[in-house]
Amino acid sequence: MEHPDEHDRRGTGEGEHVPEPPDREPDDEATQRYLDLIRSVHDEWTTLEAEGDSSVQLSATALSTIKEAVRADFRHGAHVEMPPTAAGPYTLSEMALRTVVRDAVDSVPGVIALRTAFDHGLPEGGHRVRGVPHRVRCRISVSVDARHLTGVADAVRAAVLAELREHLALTDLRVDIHIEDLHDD
Amino acid sequence: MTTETSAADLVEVVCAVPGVRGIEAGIASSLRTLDARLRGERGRARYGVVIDPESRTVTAEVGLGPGAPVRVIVEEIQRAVQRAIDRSAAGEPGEARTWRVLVRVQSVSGTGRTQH
Repeated sequence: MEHPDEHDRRGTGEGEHVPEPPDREPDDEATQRYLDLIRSVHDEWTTLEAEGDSSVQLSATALSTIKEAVRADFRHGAHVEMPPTAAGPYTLSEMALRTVVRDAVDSVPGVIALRTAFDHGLPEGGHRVRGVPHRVRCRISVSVDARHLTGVADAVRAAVLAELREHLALTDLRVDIHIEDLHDD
Repeated sequence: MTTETSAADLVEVVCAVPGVRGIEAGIASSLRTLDARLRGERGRARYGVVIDPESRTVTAEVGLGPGAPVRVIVEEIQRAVQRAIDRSAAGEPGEARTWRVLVRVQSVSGTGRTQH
């Protein structure tokens, strides 16, 4: 039996769904490196401006920032509209949205998130933005020790719904659970 | 709003909000930053923070850490930016509140629920 750690957590979902989600840990490390780079170039330009230099200054850092921005955009995927807060509109990248769902799935004992995909409503703005999600499809691996798979699926569904409601005020969602694999703990 | 100086200021404002891991620029805002600098409008954009006077929109691209619910952190960012706009717009009554603050959450570093 394939161990979930070796399972390909990348996936395209079906049809119109999200592009391949990269593995979580490398994503997090890449994100931290990118955040540090952005911080560095901000500091560099602030220092230059304080010295009266307002040129573009395409230093190695600035050039590297452009290259990394392209890579970051690929990691993030498209942006997804969310219900606005009381103070204005906001969007989440597909990568960030998957992280929220995966954390909910992984919080259920004996369950590991494999792939997550979304169906979206029509976007209200921007051709590169997806609309508010109305359906989530979770492919999961469950411990072989689990006695009641239906109960596990219900627990995962409840966890995902609660997480999306708490973090993003997303309601009226359909959550499909597909047990794709079993694993040894 | 004094756009000549605000983009760099807004970077600090956004990063000071609890739960913000950092500014996480997309390629569009990175190119707009270079474009603004080439045009001598450097105050209007920093990587990940863009002030668009035409649409009266401030866009902030962020990475979030674990902690409060995502939308709570987002609303804090929006209010912090709005407060900064209000301060810089002192003397321009009636103008500040017409700005729209769009937050683009690029990454979320876990939500603190995972148990294993």
